[in-house]
This record gives sequence, structure tokens and C-alpha cells, in this order.
Amino acid sequence: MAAGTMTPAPAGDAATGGPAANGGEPLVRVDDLTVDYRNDDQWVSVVKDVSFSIGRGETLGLAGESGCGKTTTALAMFGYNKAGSRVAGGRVTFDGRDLLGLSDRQMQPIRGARISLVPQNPASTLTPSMKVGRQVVETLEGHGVSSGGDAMDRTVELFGQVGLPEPAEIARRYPHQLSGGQQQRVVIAIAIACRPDLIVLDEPTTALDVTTQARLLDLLTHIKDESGMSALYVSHNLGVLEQICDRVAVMYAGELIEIAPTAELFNRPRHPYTRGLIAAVPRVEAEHAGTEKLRGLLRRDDLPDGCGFAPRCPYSRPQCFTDPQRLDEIEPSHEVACWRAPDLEAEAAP
Amino acid sequence: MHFVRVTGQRTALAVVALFAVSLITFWAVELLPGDAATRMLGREATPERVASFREQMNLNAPAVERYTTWITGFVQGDWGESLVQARPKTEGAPAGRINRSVTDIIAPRLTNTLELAAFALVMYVPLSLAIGIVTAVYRDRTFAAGLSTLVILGCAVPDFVIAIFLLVIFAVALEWFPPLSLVDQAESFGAQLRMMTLPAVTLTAAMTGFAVRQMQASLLSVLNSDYVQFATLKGLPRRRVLLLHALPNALGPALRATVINVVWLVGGVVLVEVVFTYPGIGLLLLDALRLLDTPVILASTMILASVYVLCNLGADLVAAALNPRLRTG
Repeated sequence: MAAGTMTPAPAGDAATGGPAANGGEPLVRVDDLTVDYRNDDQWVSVVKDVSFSIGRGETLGLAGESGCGKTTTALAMFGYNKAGSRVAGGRVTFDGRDLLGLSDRQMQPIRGARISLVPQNPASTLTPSMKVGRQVVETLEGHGVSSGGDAMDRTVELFGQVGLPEPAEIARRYPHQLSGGQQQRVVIAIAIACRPDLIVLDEPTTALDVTTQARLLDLLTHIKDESGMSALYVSHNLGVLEQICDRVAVMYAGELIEIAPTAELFNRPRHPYTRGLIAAVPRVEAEHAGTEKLRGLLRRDDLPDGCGFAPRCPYSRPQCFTDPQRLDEIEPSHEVACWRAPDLEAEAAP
Repeated sequence: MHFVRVTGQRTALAVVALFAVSLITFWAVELLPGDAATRMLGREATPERVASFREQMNLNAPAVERYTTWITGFVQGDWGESLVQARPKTEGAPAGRINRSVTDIIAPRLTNTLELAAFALVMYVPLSLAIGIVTAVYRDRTFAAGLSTLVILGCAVPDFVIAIFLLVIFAVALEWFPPLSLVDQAESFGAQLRMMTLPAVTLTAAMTGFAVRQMQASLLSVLNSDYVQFATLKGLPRRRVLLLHALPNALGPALRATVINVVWLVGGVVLVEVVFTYPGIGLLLLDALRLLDTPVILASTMILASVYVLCNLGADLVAAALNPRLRTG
């Protein structure tokens, strides 16, 4: 445990001195996380009792519509509350430590070094008044990874690694002098600079055009395979998650409603919402053609006491509106929060 | 290239604006009843004296001709002579009046005003920056809310009210400072500073509120920005995030506030100089207006207008220097 814990371990190494890599203690455990936002004078829960874990070297996808609490959940990995929000309950355990109990100062050595972020919009993520090279250098120096000329050399090396052309030249530019794709590569370089154990990707390609998206996905897959770090990949785009994730969790109105290994989730989605989401993914082969597409929109102001999805669900019964649904393991490693899931399975079978 | 062209355009516009100011001022003074002769010599003056004064001062010439003469001289650096202020040495000389040149009259007054403005700015810049930063960074704390309330109060109270308030308390009741700021008669630098304190504090108080609110607003929006969040989540120390990521990007709007304040100073200083009898350019302008001393009025107005125009020009250039997006095009 002693020396190995502080230096990020490549895949498989996690087992040394500890439990076995996959069957043992996961890198991240989120237990009953609840996050509130202030709305006028009331606190409204935007994330409710969310629990999941991420194994070492594993990539977990977090899917859902805008406003479902994905980003809030992602930021909780940093023990970070946006202005006007608070953690109302739950725990985020990272490598054995409860992060939510730590102060900003205690979190500082973890943020950026052991857990790093690639946010959604590259155009607003980099500080406009600072050259991009320095934004990497200060991360390296801040975490004592390297300093001075070494840090600059390492920065240029990182820029090459993320596929930026003429890395030394780009390091001297300001963010606005780069394209969106280049900006996001710089952000990825910052995120991997200190070789973190966990990288949190919050819709990292959404703001970019399709070609750039595809290239960046290849880059991210490559980096993950090389480094063996764990990842939390947040996206509304199931097609992307299917490509890159080992497991996918689906969120609706602040709650997790289904979580399963990727292939299992896409082949046998059990929650009506997941089915709708998958049906909404444009595909060449129309295999889910018969499935109900999603109706309506997520309305936070109009949630029933029971299942949040009930108002939009084609299979809802009166009970759905009154009985809260909890995640339930209906098959090994496949959990669903829908009491009708077994019936629906039967319905879909013939 | 782009930057140079913009600078050129702005400068040309500034010259046009100043020309317009001189035209408007001249014709506004023309429209006022009476002229320097009647104002200077008073009601009891004989028509002959008035006529000879007008003759001497060339006041009988058509207005267009007098304006043309003045502007021709002005652009060549000859700002003319006062219509009413005699040159002290030539008092007894028989060969008619030789009046003081406008440059001689204005120079010491301008120096006084600049000293007062500099004094106020020296207090104002660090004060508004500090209060703006503290109230934005510690926005959740009670003391920051108290400070913000004070700032809003400072914004709301007119400057002459602040001036009279300060006079009553610190000059009349406590007698810490002289009620008249006759800095030309000050015996020492210390005495001069004491005379300047109350007017300078008045100006500072009037300017700070506005600047603090600008600084607060721009820093708050920057503190909530994606890049400040990202810098924090990179694990940088809070101080570094504030000084290197937030502040440089928040200063632009605060700078604009300072420009608006300096521009406001141009007018505010006139009022404050009157209340404290401070011998600056504002008081000079007021006296010149009373006597319709056109060359002095024009020269003072042009100086005040130039400050206005130059500040706006300067602010645009500094903003461009601070913002790499504007600098590198």
C-alpha cells in the first residue's frame, strides 16, 4: 500500500499489495450521493441517491438528457460544488479516502494530479489571457511533477502525444489562436499531464464538429489503452458511449435508472427510458425500429413522487406515479430501477 | 496593421471631436447676453469706455472673424490673451492694456487641478481594486455585504453633498483641515497636502463606488467562468487562480470604469473646486464664464475636452494591450 498509492499505477499494477484488480476495491465508489441547488429560497435535489463505482482501468459511461444531473455528478468527483449548490448527502470514496469530507486545500493535490477533468466547451475552458503552454506548465509545476525548462519540454512532448502539429509553436499561442479541436487537445494534454488515476470526461466532444469528434474519440481511446487509467465518460450521446465504455449508467431526473456492461445494455436495455434513448440513436441498420421513441421532455418542475420517468413512459401504471423506484439487480451486474422491467422483457421477447 | 489602422482612425475622430467642441463653445458664449466689456466695466461705465475697450479687444469684429483668428492661433500654440486679466507689471504703463496670455493664466491652475486629480486617483485605484476584489471573493461573508452597502451609499450620494458633509465635520467642527483650499498660499508641501485632502477625499468617494461595482461585477462573472473552474480543478492554489486566471480577465471592464471616472473627474472637479475654493482649472473656468472671457473659456474647455477624448483613446489602446484577442487580431 505504502509507496504504490501515491504514484499512479498502470493497469494491472493495482493488484500489487492490494486486492485483485477487478474483483477487489474499486478506484471510485459513489454512495447515495445527493446534490442540491438553490432555487430562490429552496434547495432542490438535482442529483438524488446516486451510487456507482468505477474499477481500476475501467471506463464508466454516464448517459442522460441535458439537465439530468450528469455534470453535477461528474464535478462531485472533485469534491467541487458550483456556486449555489451543496452536497446534501452521500460519499465519494476515491482510493479509500472520502473526498467530500476534504477541504479545498486538502483536495488541491488530488485535483488535476490524481483526478483530472476534460470539460465540455474547449472555447471557454482555457484562460484567455495565458499562453496555452504555460497553462500546462503551471499544472506540472503546481503538482511538483516537473519545473522550469523540464516542464516546458514535457509540455511540448504532451502536445505531440495528443496529436497537436508543431507542438513547440502551439505552446506559445493563446487559446483564441487555436481551433476548437486544438483547444480540446490542449485541455486533454493538461488532463493527462500528471498521469492521473481517473479522468473525468464531461461531454468532451459535444461542442466539436463530427470529424473532429471522431479523431478525438480515437485519441481518447488510445490514451486510455496506453495509460490504463480509469475514466468517467459523461455524454448524452449513447453512440459515443457504446464505442468507448466498459459499462454504462443511465441517469434520469437526477437518479440512476439503469446500469449494465455496455454490450448488455445495448442488446437488452431493460428500462423504458434506456430503450427510448437507444432507439433515438441514429443507425444504419434499423434493429430497434419497433421500439417506442422518447416522448416529450424532461420537466424538473413536474416530477411525480414515484418514478420520475412515469409521465413520459409508454408502459406506466398508476403505481409508477406513487412508488419510488430503486436500482435492483435483475441479473448479475445489470441493475434497473423499474418494477415493470420483467414484464417488459416478456413483452418484448415474442 | 489592423491595430495601427484603428489607432489612426480613432485619432482622426478625436481631432474632429475637439474641433466641434471649440465651435460649440465659441457660439454658446456668443449667444450669452453682453460681452467682456460690459461684464468687466460694469453698469456705471460710460459708453466711450465700453467702446474703447471693445476697440482694444477687437470685440467689434464679426464673430466668424474672431473665431477664425482664435482657432488659427490655437492650432499653432498661440492661445491668445485674456480679455480681462491685466499683466501685473505693466499696470502703470500708458500705452494701453497689455493683457496676460491665456497660457500664463492656465498653466498654474492646470497644475493645481492635475495635482488634485492625481491625489484622488492615487487613493482611488488601490481602494476600488481592493474593495472590488474583496467583496467579490468573499461575497458570502457578512463583512463583504456591509462593505457593498457602503459602496452603494457612496454611489448614491451626490459629490457636492459629500463635499459639504466633509467640510462641516472635518473643517468646521473638528478643524482638522482648512475649509478653504488656497493651495497657492500654502507655506509647505505638508500644508498643501492638508489643503488638498478634503477635496481629494470627496472625489475619491464619488468615484470609488462606481468602480467597485464594475470591478465586483466583472470579477464575479470571471470567477464563475469555465476557465476559473478548470484552473481550480487543475489543483492550482487559490491565490494563483485568482491572480493569474481571474484578475487579468476581470480588469478590462474595471479599466473602462476608471476611464469613465476620469472623464467624470473633468466635470466633478469643477464642482469640488468651487465648494472648497480650490484654485484649479474648474474655478478658473467658472470665473472666466462670469466675465465672458472667451479665450480663457475656450482654452479651459479645450483642455477638459482633450482629457475626455484622450482618456477614451488611451483606454481603448490599453484594453487592446491587455487582451491578446485584440492585440494579435
